[in-house]
Amino acid sequence: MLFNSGVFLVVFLPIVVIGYYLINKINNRSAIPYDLIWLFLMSLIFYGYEKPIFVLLIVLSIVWNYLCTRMMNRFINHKKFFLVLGLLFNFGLLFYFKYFNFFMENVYALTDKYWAWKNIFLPLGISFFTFQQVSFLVDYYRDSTAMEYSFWEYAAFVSFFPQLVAGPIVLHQELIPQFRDSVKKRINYDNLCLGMYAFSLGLAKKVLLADTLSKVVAIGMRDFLENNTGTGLVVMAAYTLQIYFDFSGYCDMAIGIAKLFNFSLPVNFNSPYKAGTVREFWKRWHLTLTRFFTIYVYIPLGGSRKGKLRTYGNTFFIFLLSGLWHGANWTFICWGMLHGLLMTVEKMVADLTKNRHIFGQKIWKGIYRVWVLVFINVSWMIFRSDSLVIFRIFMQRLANGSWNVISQIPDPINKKIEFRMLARLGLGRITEVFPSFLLVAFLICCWIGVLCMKNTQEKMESFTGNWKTSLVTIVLLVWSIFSFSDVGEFLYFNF
Amino acid sequence: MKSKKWFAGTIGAVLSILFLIGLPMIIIDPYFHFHGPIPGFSYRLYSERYMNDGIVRHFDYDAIITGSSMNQNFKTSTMDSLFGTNSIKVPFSGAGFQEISNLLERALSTNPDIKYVLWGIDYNGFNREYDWAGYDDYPDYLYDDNPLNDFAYIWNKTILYEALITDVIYTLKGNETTTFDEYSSWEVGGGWDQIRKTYYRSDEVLPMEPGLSEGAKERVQTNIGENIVKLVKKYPNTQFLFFYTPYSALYWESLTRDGTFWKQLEAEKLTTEMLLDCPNVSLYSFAQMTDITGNVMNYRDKEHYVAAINEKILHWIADGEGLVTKENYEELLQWELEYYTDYDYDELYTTYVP
Repeated sequence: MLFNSGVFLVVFLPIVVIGYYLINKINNRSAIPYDLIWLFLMSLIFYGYEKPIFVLLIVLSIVWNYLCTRMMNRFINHKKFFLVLGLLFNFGLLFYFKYFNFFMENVYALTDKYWAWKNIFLPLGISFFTFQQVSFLVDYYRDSTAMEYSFWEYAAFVSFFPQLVAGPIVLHQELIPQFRDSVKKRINYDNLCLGMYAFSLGLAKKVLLADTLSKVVAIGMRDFLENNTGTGLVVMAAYTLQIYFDFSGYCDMAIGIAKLFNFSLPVNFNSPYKAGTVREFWKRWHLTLTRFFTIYVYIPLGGSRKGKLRTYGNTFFIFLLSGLWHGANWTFICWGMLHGLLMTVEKMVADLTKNRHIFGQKIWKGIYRVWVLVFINVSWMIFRSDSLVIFRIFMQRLANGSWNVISQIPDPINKKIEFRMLARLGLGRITEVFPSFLLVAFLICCWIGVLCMKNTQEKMESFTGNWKTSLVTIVLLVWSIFSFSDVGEFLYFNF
Repeated sequence: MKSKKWFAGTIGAVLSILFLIGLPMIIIDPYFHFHGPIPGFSYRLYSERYMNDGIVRHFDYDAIITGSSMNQNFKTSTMDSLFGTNSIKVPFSGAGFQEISNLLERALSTNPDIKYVLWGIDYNGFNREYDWAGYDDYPDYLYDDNPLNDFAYIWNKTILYEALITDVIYTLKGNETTTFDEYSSWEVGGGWDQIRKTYYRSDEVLPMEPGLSEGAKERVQTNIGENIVKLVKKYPNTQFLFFYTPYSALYWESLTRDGTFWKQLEAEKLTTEMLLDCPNVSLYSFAQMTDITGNVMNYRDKEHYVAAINEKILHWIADGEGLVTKENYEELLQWELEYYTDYDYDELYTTYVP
């Protein structure tokens, strides 16, 4: 089920929220956690709404991982065996559903021998719930004393629908204690307001901004052979915005929905394009993924404790993994490696100059900030391209020196119903003379927004329940709901 | 403002707006998703993929004209006067066979007493995959019976602006509901001025490919079997009037130049045999109307004929002209092979001005 659908917003969400508080009101002293069973079952409906068969997969995954921890608890001398069993299952599942097609394509390319295999459909959010459970298994193996969770607590944690298919990657110690907090089982209007506000901001980012930009990008990438400098720049700037609005919009909605149940989810984005270095970018972009790799890969590999060379190597390695996590394609791997390489170079320069010269001076800071933004824009195009060849052609066309944006690119903006209404007021004449006028204006406004405005987290922190915030919420919700029907799917569902 | 008040006020306002806009959308129902036209209100029929499903489920009719853009210029008034029917026209631009078949299934399952289905089968569609579709972003929510996705219809800014508000203004201005003669029709003159906008004569002449492979034959059979024969057999009381869309000689020339002419004829043979096996099918071909196909003035591109030809087609069918039977179809195919192989295509270009 999509957050940006009428059935979710008008049917599913109210039923789950009202049901949750009703159950807690009626059964607040029961030994059976009906509220968590309710959340678990409703999360399964959410997950299996489009493809019910995948419910079996997530249930199997939850049961298997939970059983592994029970076995670790029971056979304390064989903890490692059950850890490995759990990890093999998780990574096996991930490999089969996410990487098998890619693996076979590469075997075919290398050996020229073709084995017929069935194309495997990628289940929603498999990377997210797999990583979440891997973290639980590893933590349990390290220290199980504080982690005696019941099955329903564990199942409700993994399947908790706001974060299930596109993150943030929540850790068990963040959510399960909140499930147990009796104060959180009662309606809290402050949180309902905050949740609704955050949800409306996220929904608007996704539906009004990301989905509009996605149409521009789709045309640019479909007709990449005809692109030129002007078109390439527009497409690149649009995609950088699209992926941010799309993914952070989803996370805002997840955080907002969780707030309706009085739960707090970790922040996943903190104005990433305001970053001054690539290192800072990764402290602002998809924070819970960076956190996961730091805790479960970087530190076990030695982190920064085993000398500079090893630190650089470890840094590069986790970005290579991050690339692979994002998708089964050489484009994602190259994207990850490129970020890893630049992170490593930044670390080296910082080590060599002891943080004084390059990043210390204002002028260098400014220049470097621009370079980081350029780098991020270009690297997103590797991420977006279907293959490295397409990326190469895209960049070649980008350098051809022709600045006229090709005619179809502004269409998704010019044909938007909102702009067609404006056209009746006279704006139509401008687009007749400068077809890209609205598109460029739209991009500039979006860029000003991401570089200068407060992000959702900051807005939530300064939220006060007055008529202004109410009006913003009403307008964004209604406008977004009326824009649902021509919206696409969330980009991060397939990662 | 207290948070309880803020929450109640905000959610109350959102729900009120949704209700106040959703209600007239359901009452007027500009795409006929819930019911037919309401008396006294005038509707603009203009958006095939959004309206055809509602039309076939909620209008009163006993005959259907459908197909791709080759059928958009038919006049239901002519059909009705020739066949004594009360017909509707529900074509789709750039339609695939599956799309048309799905629509007809919706129509016939709702209204099994339909007397005639007139479907101009795209002559270039035989060799496509059975589920070929030439469009994105299909409004699936209008084509199923799931009420949970109808929100996409009743709360939709495009439909609100383009259909509901515009139809209200349209009605207030005293206009009448669009007729099926007008719906989807386009009036563009034929001739080279039009054709050369999209047509390009390839300099290269590729060697003629042999007939269809086993896989290709299977594809044609699946395409026709799944999309047409299955439907025809399911509704034996309906008479299906099929015709192969009479493309211009320029189309036939393109087949001879790109080497697919023999393949096309073989696909036509397979299709014809499958259709003629159905007792409730009458199949027509107008390829032998060479005064039509050989005159560029009848076409706006190498395939699309002008509106006057649609009128002729209705009269030909009513008169039984061009009827393909089990007895004559092989003769027709042989004639097509010989005629369009020996055709002097250069003659078509005598009035061409680049």
